[in-house]
Amino acid sequence: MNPMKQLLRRPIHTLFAILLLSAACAFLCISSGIFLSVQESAKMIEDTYVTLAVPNPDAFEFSSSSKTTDAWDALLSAAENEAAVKAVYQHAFISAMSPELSPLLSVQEEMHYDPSLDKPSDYAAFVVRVSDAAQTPSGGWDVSADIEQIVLLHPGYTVRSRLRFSYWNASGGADMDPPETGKTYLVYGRFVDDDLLLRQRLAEQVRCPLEEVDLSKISTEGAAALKKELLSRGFAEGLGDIAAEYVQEKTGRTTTLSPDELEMVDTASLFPQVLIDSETDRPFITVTCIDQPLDTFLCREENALWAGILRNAVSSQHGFPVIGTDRADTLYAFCQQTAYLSQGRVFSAAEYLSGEKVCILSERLAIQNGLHIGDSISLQFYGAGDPFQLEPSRQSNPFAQDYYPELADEADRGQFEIVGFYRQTDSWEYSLGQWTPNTILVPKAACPTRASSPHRTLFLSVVLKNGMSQRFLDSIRQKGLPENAFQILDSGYERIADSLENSVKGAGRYFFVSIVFWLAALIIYLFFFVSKQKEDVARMRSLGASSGEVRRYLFFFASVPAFLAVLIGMGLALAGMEAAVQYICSAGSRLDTALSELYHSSSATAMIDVSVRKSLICLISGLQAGAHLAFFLLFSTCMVKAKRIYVVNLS
Amino acid sequence: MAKIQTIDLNFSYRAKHQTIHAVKDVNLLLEPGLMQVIIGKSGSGKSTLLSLLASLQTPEQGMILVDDMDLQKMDADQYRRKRAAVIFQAYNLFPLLTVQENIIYPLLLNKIPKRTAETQAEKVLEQVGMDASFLKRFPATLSGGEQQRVAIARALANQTDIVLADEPTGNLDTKNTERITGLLSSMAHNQGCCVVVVTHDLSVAANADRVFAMDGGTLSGVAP
Repeated sequence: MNPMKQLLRRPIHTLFAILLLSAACAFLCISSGIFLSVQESAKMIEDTYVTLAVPNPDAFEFSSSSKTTDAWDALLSAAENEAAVKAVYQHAFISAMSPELSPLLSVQEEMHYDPSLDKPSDYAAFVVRVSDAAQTPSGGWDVSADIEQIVLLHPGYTVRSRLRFSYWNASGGADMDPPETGKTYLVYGRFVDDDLLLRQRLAEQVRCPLEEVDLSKISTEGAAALKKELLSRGFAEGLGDIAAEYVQEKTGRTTTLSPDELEMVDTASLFPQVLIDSETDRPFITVTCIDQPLDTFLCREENALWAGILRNAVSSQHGFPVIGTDRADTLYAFCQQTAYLSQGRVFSAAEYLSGEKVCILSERLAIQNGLHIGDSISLQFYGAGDPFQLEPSRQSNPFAQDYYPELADEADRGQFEIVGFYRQTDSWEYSLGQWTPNTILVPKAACPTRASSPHRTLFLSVVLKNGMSQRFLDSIRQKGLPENAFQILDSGYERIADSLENSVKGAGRYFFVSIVFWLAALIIYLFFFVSKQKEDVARMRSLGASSGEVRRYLFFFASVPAFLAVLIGMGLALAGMEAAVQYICSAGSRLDTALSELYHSSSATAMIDVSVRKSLICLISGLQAGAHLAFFLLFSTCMVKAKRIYVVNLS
Repeated sequence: MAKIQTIDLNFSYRAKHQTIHAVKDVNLLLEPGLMQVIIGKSGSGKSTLLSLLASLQTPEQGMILVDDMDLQKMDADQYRRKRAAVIFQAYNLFPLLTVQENIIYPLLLNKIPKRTAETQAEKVLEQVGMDASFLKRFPATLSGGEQQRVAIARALANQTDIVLADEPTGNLDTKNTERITGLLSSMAHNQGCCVVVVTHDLSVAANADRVFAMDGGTLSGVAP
């Protein structure tokens, strides 16, 4: 008996059987592919969506450090003992100096210029000639001067022709020499570009792009006419502050300038520092009259202090804030998606654990310094403590401390390999939990142990189990903490939670149905197609065919169409799976189905990739073929062994 | 030359709530070179007896000796393949095989070359009164009588020494009944086969060398 001949002599039956099994095979492949895709997507979504609870600064009293510490400890204790919490991460802060790296400045993006963001690269030193000086009520002096020599200035700043600075007697007395007009002074301090601040203010007032502000359009005559007109209308108060008028040429919008603002044109401010002379242990202010060329001045032994100040300032200009973390993706900005990894990778679990010398930089810092993934940078850690010690309410943009050799330990120097770049939606955003693009991320274990964990929103991440935020907040409330003690960031998880659950359930249901359909098809195939052979089996046996011969016949008779069906089903699934996925993805916005929502929300990126899906289909098909063969072997054995087969089928 | 002997043969069918004792203490001797007929009304157990003789079923009690060897200890497949040909009332031709393929199937089981088997098929078909034009036809295109003759031809082709026929003439007209009866008789007499025919057709019984009568599962008489 030739099973192929038998099959070909009943083509309709055979074709129907093949089609039935092909459909079942394709359905099972597609549904299992979708099921596993959904499972994988759900798992990736669970991993991707980090539900974060961060301390709400509004709920704290930052003016009192003891209160803050108590509140912080209460928060930590509440978070650490809560079932809804997955993990608590306290990130560390430290400064690092990297001589080969040039930091970015907000001044380079004029519209975002904020002098407080450019610390400590804003230290500058000039040789100036005093043009005007006025004593302040406290006994200090406000000085206007012309810049004669730039001693130290970050190249990101624009050089102005005039400099304003104030200074006073650092020892507290009023007995200080007044600045002498026409004499030269060496001044050192924090640099502020007044001209740019003025243009920022004008652009905002007349509502135009910063580059369209033209300070040559400031008119003092216009201001006089305006003042006269306002007086005639009876507006008397505050008119003394109007020194000039600015008219935007394109739009015709105008604004007024105060006398102080008028002095900001082509001018910068410098804020001298009060330092301690280590030899005399006396404070001094960083303004000094020099009556000789600068080089000569600095070479003199009694001026070694100044030479040291300038050396340290150069190092400070290469100081970077460093955040040490045990899990970078739980940092506030990453969770809020104001920062994201644009290239490379985050740290691995092993790197976190061992404190591997690896780092993640901002993409912009890397571009400015010509760095690539895999390059190394040297970092000399220095300092420690709360970067916002002097600004208790500040919750974002930590900056590096000023560099002094005594703050650094040679043992804390190392080469760090760049493994990733992050990109920020707004590099100079001044809102809660943000950091500047100069910030370098490293594994916490790679930081020296003296690195601090400041009590700030940015430095604490309480990672909640997804979907458990309300339970967490309820528990916090029950523990007597303020209702708003924590702010929850779930990256939109709550919005998709139901869809996610429904999708997993839905895909599970489809998968179950497909298994039932496959089993039903197999049973139909066996009982309505293969078992029709029982009469032939009985005939074969009655004519002396051995059980082995009959089993072989039956097995091949059942297997050939099933094998063809698996091949066809696999082809259908390979074509159908892609179409199904494409449909689900593209229909995401139109279909109100849980499944499409899931794919839409994850932008199909979380789906297991095409090659894996194809392999999966081949695997499922292979399993089906294997299951078919096992079934057929069992079935044919049972049929051959049926004792009454002759009587039932031959009588 | 095969001799078959049954000793205290018993067989029952077990249904859900009852047991039907189809064969009860049957003792008979079936000799080679004779055409032996078992007659009896429907339900008398004659077909069951035949299926026991063909080793299609296993006796509950008693034994069947074939040439003094216990049938149950013999290889049943080999017995049916090489020694006993069965002709069924319902023909039991393979519906998807041609007449030729049906006839040569048992020959191929016995490893006879296909060409030889085909020649043999043509010869035996002629013996049952059918010409070569039937060889490529399928059973469904044949009449009941033609199908029965093909079934007989299949049994003849294998040249076994035992032929067990269950109502072989049940669907035949008088002329063909005579032809088939003659054929079976000639197999017994000329080839020395042990031919056992189960029938209720008395005209077949009239041509038998020996007739056994069955009633209610027991052997009720033997003639002569």
